[in-house]
Amino acid sequence: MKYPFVALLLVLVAPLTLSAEERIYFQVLSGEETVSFTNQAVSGVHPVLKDVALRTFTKPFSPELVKSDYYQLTVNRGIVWNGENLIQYDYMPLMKDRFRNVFWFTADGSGLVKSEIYDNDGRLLFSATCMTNNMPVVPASSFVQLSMDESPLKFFGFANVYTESASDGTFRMTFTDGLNRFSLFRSLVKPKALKEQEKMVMYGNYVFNKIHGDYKYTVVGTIPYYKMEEVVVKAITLYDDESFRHTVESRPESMQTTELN
Amino acid sequence: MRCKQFYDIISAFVDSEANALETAALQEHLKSCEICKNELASQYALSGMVKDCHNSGICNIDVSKSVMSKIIHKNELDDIFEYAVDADAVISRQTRKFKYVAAAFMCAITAAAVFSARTTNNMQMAAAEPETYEYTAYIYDHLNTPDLEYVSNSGNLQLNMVSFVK
Repeated sequence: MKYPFVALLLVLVAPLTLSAEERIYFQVLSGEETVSFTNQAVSGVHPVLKDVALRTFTKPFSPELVKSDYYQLTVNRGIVWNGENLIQYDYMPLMKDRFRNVFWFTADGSGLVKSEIYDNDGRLLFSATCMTNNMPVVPASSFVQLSMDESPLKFFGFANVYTESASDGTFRMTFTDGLNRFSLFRSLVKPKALKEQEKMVMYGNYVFNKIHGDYKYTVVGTIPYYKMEEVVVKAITLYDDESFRHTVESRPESMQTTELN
Repeated sequence: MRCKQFYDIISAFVDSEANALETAALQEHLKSCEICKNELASQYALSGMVKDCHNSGICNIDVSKSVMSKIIHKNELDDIFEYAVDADAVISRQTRKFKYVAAAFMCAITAAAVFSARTTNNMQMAAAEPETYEYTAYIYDHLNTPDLEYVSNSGNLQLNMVSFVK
């Protein structure tokens, strides 16, 4: 009598517990809810959320690109997890103008075991933990390093690493300080009524939206809302300058050298 | 001595087994006790009937009714016992059946709860999509830049990246 019941229980529980290669456990804040899932979840998780989580966890990281002007780094050793010695790197923003990032590496620094991002209210925006094999640490590409050194456009320690003009007229610029990232999008306002200003958390990223005239400015990333609003105000100011607008929209790859700190 | 205590002496006396002291006490008691006199008479009568049976080989004592009544009573008890055993078996079967049903019900509840949690999560995201579709696309683009393409194309990891169709 016992065995059929046990077999039925195993059938129900097994899909939840069977291990496989490269199993990563994510916790992502979206709206007011924290969504928990693994990279091997086949249902119940939006595919874009899974993709965003994986890219956030695997984005390149080079400690030398993280400026000490903006972060206080605390290194903790002697952490043991799953029988492995780990080193914790805790990047705390000095001016609350970006978010705290915490990493757990293997003792030799070659494997990333866990990473977390907290906003300035202490809320966990993003968390990823390797349950099986550790993620190899990928150094920031030379493209990023070049951008950090020679970027013509800088926002409070962030460097522009990508610019794009889409066929629908959307213009976007992506910035990074070697740790946190944000992107600015400028697009035509859609016919449907929109709020003049909107804030939300989506897929572990802050989203800020402001309408100015015929255009909507949207900032997504891991910086606080007040800094996103500053970015939008500066972008609006820039685009009011006709000469700048002409330069940006006609030749997006070649930018004027402009310091906006 | 009270009458009950003399009954044993009476029985011994009838069987000629009482000693001199007991006999004297009994005789003195019988002078004033009608109950014990009747008891002595009954004991004598019974003793006489048993002796007659033994001597003649014929017993006129009819105990059939008494015996038969006891057999019937025993049969009734056996029936009741068997009924109780059957009832226990029925109850045991019913209990086992109930346990099976309860276990299956709990499994169904657990499975439904797991399915519901996953479905609710998906439904919440689906409900949010119409209003936040554009922001979803922005977040996707935000992490699809050349500096991150280095990661997606390198390594041996099967990350199952997806393409977001706008």
